[in-house]
Amino acid sequence: MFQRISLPSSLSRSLSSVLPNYRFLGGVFLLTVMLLLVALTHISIGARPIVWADIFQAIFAFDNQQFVHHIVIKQRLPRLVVAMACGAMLGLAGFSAQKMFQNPLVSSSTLGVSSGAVFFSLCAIYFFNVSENDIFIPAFIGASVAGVFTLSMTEMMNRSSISKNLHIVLAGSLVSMLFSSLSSFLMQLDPLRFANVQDWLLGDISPADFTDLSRIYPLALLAIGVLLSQGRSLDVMIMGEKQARSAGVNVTRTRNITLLCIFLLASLVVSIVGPIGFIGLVVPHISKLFVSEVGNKGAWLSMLIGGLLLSFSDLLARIVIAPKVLIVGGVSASIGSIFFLCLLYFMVRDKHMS
Amino acid sequence: MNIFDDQNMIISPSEGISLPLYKRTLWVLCALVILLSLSFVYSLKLGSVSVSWADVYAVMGFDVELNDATSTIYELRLPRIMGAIAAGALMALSGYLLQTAARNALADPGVLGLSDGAALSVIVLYVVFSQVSLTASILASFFGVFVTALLVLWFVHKNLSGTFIVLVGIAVGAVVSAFSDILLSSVTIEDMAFLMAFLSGSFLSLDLTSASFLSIWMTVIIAVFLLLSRYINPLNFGYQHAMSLGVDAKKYYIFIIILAVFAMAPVIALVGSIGFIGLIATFLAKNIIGYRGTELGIVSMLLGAIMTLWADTLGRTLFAPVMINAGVFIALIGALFFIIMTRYIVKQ
Repeated sequence: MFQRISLPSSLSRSLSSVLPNYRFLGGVFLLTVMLLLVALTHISIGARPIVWADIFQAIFAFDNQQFVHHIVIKQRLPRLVVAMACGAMLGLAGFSAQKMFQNPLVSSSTLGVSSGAVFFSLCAIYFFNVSENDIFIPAFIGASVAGVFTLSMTEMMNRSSISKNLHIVLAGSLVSMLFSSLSSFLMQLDPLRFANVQDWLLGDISPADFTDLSRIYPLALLAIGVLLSQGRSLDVMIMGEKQARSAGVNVTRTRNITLLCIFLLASLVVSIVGPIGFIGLVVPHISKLFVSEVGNKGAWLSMLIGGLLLSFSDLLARIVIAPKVLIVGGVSASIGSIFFLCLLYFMVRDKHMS
Repeated sequence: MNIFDDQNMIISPSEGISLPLYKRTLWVLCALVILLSLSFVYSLKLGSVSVSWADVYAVMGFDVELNDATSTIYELRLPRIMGAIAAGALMALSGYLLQTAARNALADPGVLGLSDGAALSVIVLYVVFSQVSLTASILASFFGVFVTALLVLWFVHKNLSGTFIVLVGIAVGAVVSAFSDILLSSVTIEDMAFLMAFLSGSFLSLDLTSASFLSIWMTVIIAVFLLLSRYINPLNFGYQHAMSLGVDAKKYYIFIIILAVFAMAPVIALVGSIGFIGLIATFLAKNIIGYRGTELGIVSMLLGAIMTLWADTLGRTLFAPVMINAGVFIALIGALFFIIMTRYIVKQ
């Protein structure tokens, strides 16, 4: 819509070299405004309603005597920030995965990575008494094991058939099914011990705060930076492996590094808020409305959208049955899985893929 | 073995029932029936309260003087075991019928999300009216299965490739269980424990009434299945062939889907969400006796019953005093099986 404005051709050519893409800028503007609105609503709504003026005051001129300021800074802001950060990480992981595999159904949850991370974390808690602060390590191992399992299964399936696009998702779902049944098996062995991780298993933001974020942010930033730096190689890889090789891209290395970063981001999110599914699946599709997946703009936009989506889901979780708070993992999964179903349907209908 | 060898055919019970038995099938049937009976008796004895064979024998003969041991068997173990056998057989039959309807070895109440759908509607009922009668929960379960089945059918009716069916089933299951999760997080802790057990499928809360109900239901469903079998078998060859054999395929497709739904819905209402039995049992049955219509259905039922019985018995004895829900065991085995079966999924 923004691009259709007709200008004299010479002017339009010179403008397009100076001005960035309108659609992208429009998208960034729109999403930022929405993010701010969601954030303010998120903070202001709750057992104690808070007016927006108080929120700004609490953030910019914190007064130790004011009770309201303590609610904003110590209770509601951490939850919001955690939601945004995790959403951004999941969004970027999903974007990179979909770009690399060139498959609109792939994300960290549909690859089975999250449930692998959960199972290994539970094992670490059960067998080695690992404290919840160190759960990141088993989560990362689990994510990698599950991811590699899914990929090797896909490879095996692809060998015996021509149609390939759905196989990776099928393999991912099966791996995820296996690990979640293993998890529920393990939990039945000692229900009392796992009573306090019950909410975490569904994906729950409420117990997480700044200390959790401060523990993971170096690794998260590292993974995000590496993923952004791989952007160009991934762009070339869209053309296909052979072309990318002849263009001088080390395909295997790029793929391994990208996968590793995706596993890392997914397991970091699992380690602080649990397996929040489907955000990574939905985000890239929204970002494609504003900008093509070539280049790093899509990656930045995906982080923005991820933050927006997860904080919006959290807002919904808090207001739907108001005094009670739903678990955000359930809310995001219910939106995301309906989206997944529709995506699957349209994909098969339009392209006649099997 | 040549399956068209008429020498191997032994009996054909009556005009209306299409059940030509082959020697191998007969041996397998006998072996499975014996195995099931032995498992039945042995699982009556197994458990955290030790009982003597004499007590087991007394209960078997319904010569019950209620002392500690016999009442343990009669009130605690017998309903569970009866329930597990009936539930396993019904779920296996339901899976077999769905596979015939979809002409796909992967169709199964668990895979297609039907179990989850039924469980969700029962949970909604529990959450809304905390006290629910047996009839109401069975009706709710029927409703849930029908709605989910319609949803899945609507999605897959244009593309019946194995990968797609399974993915749609998994996606529908994901939608339904996301809603279950939301509901779970909105109830009290006590309700949550109960609902969690229900969601994973447990025979713990079965009493003698519901176990007998399941057994009677199983008998009725088997009778209907045998009476319809001459119409069901041609459907295995596909729509066109069935039509050319003089079967009104469209009508019977609907019949068998309804029969499949009727077979599984009460099980879900009473036991909770269990799946995958049909998938595993029918797969094993095919490998034991080959592709043979009605016999395949019967053998799958027996295998399903044995499997579920052992899943439940092992679940309550292996890690005693901790109990593992039968549904959890079955889901675990089912997922492993599924991964082993991917080769077949992809080929279809």
